[in-house]
Amino acid sequence: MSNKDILQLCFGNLLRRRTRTILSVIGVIIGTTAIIVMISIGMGLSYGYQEQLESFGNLHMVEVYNSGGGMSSNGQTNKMDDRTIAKMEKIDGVTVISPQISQYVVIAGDHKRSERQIIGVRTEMLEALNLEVEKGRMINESDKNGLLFGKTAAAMFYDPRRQQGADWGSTEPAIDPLQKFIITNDWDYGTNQEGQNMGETQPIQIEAQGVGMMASADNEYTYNIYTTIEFAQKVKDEFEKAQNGGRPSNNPQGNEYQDLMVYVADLDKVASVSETIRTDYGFGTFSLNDMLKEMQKTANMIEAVLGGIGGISLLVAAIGIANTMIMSVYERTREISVMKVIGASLKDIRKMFLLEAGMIGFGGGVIGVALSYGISYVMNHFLSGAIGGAFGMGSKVSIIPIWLVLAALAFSTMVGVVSGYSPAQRAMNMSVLEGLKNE
Amino acid sequence: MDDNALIRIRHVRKVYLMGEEKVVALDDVSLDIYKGEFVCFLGTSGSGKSTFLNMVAGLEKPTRGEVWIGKVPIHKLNEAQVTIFRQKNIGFIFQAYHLMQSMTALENVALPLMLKGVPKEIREPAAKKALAQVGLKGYEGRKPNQMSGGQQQRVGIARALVVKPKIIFADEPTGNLDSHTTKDVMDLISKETKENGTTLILVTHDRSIADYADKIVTIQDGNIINVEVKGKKNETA
Ligand SMILES: Nc1ncnc2c1ncn2[C@@H]1O[C@H](COP(=O)(O)OP(=O)(O)O)[C@@H](O)[C@H]1O
Ligand SMILES: [Mg+2]
Repeated sequence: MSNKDILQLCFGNLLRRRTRTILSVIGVIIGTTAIIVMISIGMGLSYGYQEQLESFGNLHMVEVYNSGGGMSSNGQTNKMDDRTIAKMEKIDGVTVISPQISQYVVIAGDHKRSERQIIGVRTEMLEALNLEVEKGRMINESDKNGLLFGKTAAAMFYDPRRQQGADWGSTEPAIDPLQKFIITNDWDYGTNQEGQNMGETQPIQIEAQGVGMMASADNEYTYNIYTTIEFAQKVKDEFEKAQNGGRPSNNPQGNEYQDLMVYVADLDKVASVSETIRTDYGFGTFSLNDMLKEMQKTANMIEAVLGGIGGISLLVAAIGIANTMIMSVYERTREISVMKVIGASLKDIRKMFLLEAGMIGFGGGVIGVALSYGISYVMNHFLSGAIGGAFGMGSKVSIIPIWLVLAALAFSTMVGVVSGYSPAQRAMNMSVLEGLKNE
Repeated sequence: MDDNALIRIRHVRKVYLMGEEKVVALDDVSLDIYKGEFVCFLGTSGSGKSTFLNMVAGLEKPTRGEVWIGKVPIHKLNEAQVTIFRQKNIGFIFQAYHLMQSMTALENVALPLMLKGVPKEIREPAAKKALAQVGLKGYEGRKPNQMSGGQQQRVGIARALVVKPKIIFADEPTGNLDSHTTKDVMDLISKETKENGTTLILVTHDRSIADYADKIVTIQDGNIINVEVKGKKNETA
């Protein structure tokens, strides 16, 4: 029998038993919808966590501290130097790794000043962060003393003769970021106390050139001023030398760095990279991703519980389908026997019943998916304000990813076919003569 | 016994178990049926006619003995094999017509072709032709419950004829019909099978129907007690 004919026959049979078909389909609709909606709430929750964390910082970033003594689990000690960094660069998942050298400074230009963190990282890191530049350009390695201002950093300049500190909350640049600046260790620079409270420390002034300003004020980088490693190291060394009364610091750590930044493009690998750095190198790490993982574990558990509740309703639907199909086999005993006698193959008989059951499952699944989208829409539009806040959810209460739709359809169809299997087997093995006597 | 006969039935026995009790439906039956022959199994109710027919058609397995159709040992085939054999070679006409109630006359007649995988464009004209052959032109769209018993049986006959089978089995095909309709239906069956050279095996308890046959096999208590061939003297088994 051709598949088209079987399909038509099945449709006919389902339509003939309309009421019962509809009832079994409704069972599947409820089951599928329950599963999808429940899981979508779990997904919404997990997405909400991620949204929340992303507002705190970059989930791709692992910060590495020179703590834990650099003692790896096999007892080896690691110095946080260029050689170790070169090794760490090869860890699976690491996209860019860079030392992070920071110095808190007073920076002044155009009669205004600001107290900022100057951070030196590799330019590849700045590129990996994909920070948009609004004015000027990115730092490049050939910059001797170039500075890239975070948007907020550029806004935090103030005239020290007029006010005590910067205005918070502004993101409008208070200076032209593309000018010459003076970096100094005199915390009274520009005030009328200038140079008077230095104590033992020698006052120094380092020239720097602004080359660009970032576009976004919504990330953690907006508060800082970025430069090359070389320049940041130079500033740091000069500051230490000035503090030591002019003698160059006898850097006890040699060429060691204090902090590293590791950028992991593949979010799924952030955790394993952190783990490797902790155990194989003995450094301390911090990433928002660790927190996300913890939160996601909770979300997954909630998802599983909610999905399980949905699953139970689909199980009930499966019983409904099985019942429908068994009744159908009983009612059609004679019909099946006649078909067998006049030439239906056993395979075709089984196919017919499996297909009918599968169609109930698939049909219910399709309607269930549509209904779920509707419910999801309503929840996102009318409930996200109300309960969203209460449960720490993000902007969406319910998220239905495409894989969930496909999985639900596959699952509901499978439930149909599995429920139909035993009735189909019964139809196939039924005695023809018994069926024909049955009048 | 003739090894060239189309259907060769050899020492077939069928015993049913009813709990502890054995019911011997067929005792020891042997028979030859030739191609194109119209054979009638005649006997009273419970004599074993239907059991015999079912055995030959492969719907039931004999307890003992052999049934050969051509080179095929029907008694050895499993259900899947026997289904394929029936699909290719055999047509059935039932006492209770056994039409699909949800299908039209045309669809009922086309059903065996559909089961064989014949596409709609071919099977529907063929079914239409078969319906015309049995005198039901214009009834294509009728459902079984919109037709008389005689008409339904004509649909049943058309359904058996449409696949052009080598053998047609008919168990009391007129059992539910009045005597007038019975004559029409019997005329139709014997005419159509003769014209196509189809072998026809028909079961009845009615002597007047048996008279249509080329060979009348009388069965009693599970044994053949008489074989009567038209134009020949009775030969006792
Ligand atoms: N499935 C069965 N189980 C038990 N006994 C049966 C079965 N089928 C037929 N019989 C018995 O076998 C005998 C012959 O039956 P059957 O071939 O139907 O007779 P007929 O068709 O000549 O009326 C009867 O006694 C009947 O009761
Ligand atoms: Mg009978």
